[in-house]
Amino acid sequence: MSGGYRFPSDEPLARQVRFTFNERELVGLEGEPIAAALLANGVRTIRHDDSTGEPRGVYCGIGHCFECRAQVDGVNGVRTCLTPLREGTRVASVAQWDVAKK
Amino acid sequence: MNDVIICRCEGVRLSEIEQAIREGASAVPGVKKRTRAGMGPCQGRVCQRVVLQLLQQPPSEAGESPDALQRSRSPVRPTLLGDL
Amino acid sequence: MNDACDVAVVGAGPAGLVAAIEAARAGLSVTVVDEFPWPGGRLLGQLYTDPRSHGRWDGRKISRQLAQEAGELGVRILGGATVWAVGRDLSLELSGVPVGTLRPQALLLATGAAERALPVPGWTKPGVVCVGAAQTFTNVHHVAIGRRVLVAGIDPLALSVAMEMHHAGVDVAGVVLPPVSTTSGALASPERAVARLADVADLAPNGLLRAAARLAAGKLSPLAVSALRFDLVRVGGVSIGFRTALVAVEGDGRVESATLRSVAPDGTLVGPERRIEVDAVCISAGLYPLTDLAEIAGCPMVEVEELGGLVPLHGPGLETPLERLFVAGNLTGIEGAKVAIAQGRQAGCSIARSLGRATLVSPEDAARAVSDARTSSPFRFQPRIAAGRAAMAELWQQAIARGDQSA
Repeated sequence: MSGGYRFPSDEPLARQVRFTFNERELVGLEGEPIAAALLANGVRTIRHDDSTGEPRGVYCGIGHCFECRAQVDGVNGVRTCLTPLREGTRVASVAQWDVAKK
Repeated sequence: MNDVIICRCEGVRLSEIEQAIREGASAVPGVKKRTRAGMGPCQGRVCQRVVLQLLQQPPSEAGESPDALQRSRSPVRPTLLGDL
Repeated sequence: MNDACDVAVVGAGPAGLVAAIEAARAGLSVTVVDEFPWPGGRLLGQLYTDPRSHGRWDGRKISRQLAQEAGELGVRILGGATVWAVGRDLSLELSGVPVGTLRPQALLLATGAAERALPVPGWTKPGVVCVGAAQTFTNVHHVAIGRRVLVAGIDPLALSVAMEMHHAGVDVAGVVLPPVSTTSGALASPERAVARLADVADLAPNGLLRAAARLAAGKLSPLAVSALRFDLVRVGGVSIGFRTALVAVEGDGRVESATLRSVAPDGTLVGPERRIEVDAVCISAGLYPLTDLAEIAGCPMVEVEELGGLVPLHGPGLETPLERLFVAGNLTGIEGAKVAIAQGRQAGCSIARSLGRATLVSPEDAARAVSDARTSSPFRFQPRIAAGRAAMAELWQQAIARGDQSA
């Protein structure tokens, strides 16, 4: 028993696209938020927290909490709950919250 | 009882906030300066109301005083330096 | 890139979209910005049958229709745009889109609400989510947040989301009271939960909520709760634990179980702990107006508990003390989408008039439509919302008397 999954749907689904999470190849639906694609693949832990080292994943789901942030196509601190998935999107957990500041 | 995390962004626990209040913090900004609670990327959107309730124990019926909350500052969302 | 327009709207939820439509109808150029890539805001996750009209309320469909109508009127909707600052001249600083600075003549803030947090040991583990996240993932993204889910929080939104997950095939392990703690206050009291449900007994938009609310209004009146022998009430296949509270979430790196305890009618924990196996927990602790942009715009804030906490000071036409700054929707007080739509129309008209344009709807009719929407709304999030609106009207009058209002 673990993680999320995609509901069966009568509606036509969006096109399937390939993407990677920490270099692991996964399949999601084009345009859905990256966080939804990760959850549909059973991925709960999106990153480990800088200060506590704990695993973290989606919390608020609508962009307020920043818990689901990841590096997306090389940009750090991207909220995966707000960012649409595209063919070839590269998602990675990052230890440091904002390397761009350093 | 487990010492629960209150500020998820900065990993600040209940005991640290209670300590800050014992040390004289009387409003959210005071707790923030002492513990970093509310200083993370969510800018207190998750924990600020919780910190306020801890400050107001026993919970008062009168409700929150606006002055007790931290003021929002821009940038209100983390922003890439290139966008500033 | 800098850009100018007559009206900027922050928030593409029901209030923002309808206001944009109304302003565009008056001949104004309107840009709507929202952090989410698709317009609709919290409307996107709403799906229920209204027990009064028997009509189906399909939030995604309504969102699409509103966005289309706005588009046909020439409204520009910028999705994926984050506003990180508001200038005193009402200019918006944006990231995530090519437009860097947006300079409007008038600004409407329709930023909605955020969820209150209820810290409980283990609440940072992946798999513990806010009720809004559960609703969005279930109804918008069609992805289950887990296979076996515990819902903590007995309120209209939590029960609706529990029912939606149940219908979608998720094993809902139960709906229980939120954690009893120094930070949850009266939320965890069985009496308060029952009173809260009784309040919506005749309005409830889904079977579970309706049945639970009827139970609450009848058998489980606040007095009856203390005599309540049974703990779990099973409604429509979902168990509600009026006398059970979540006390902790456990698991190695992810949610594996939740610990529950019984609660006495006054809210104190009693009896031994018991553990149930779940892989996700959804916490509902209520909403509060998301005021950050209104604050940095310089709008005075006032505390009105019945509206959901701190809200921008605003007048009967949704104007604020700052010239050409308007507010609408949950930012002004926590209410349902129907009220937000009516407020959007009212704000759109007020904005048009402030910029010297005529509107088809009179200020009186626009205001009346808001109170009608309030009366007919199938959801009531704040039990004493009318008192809150009256309190705001009073505060506004006092501000005018002091000469705070610039208009």
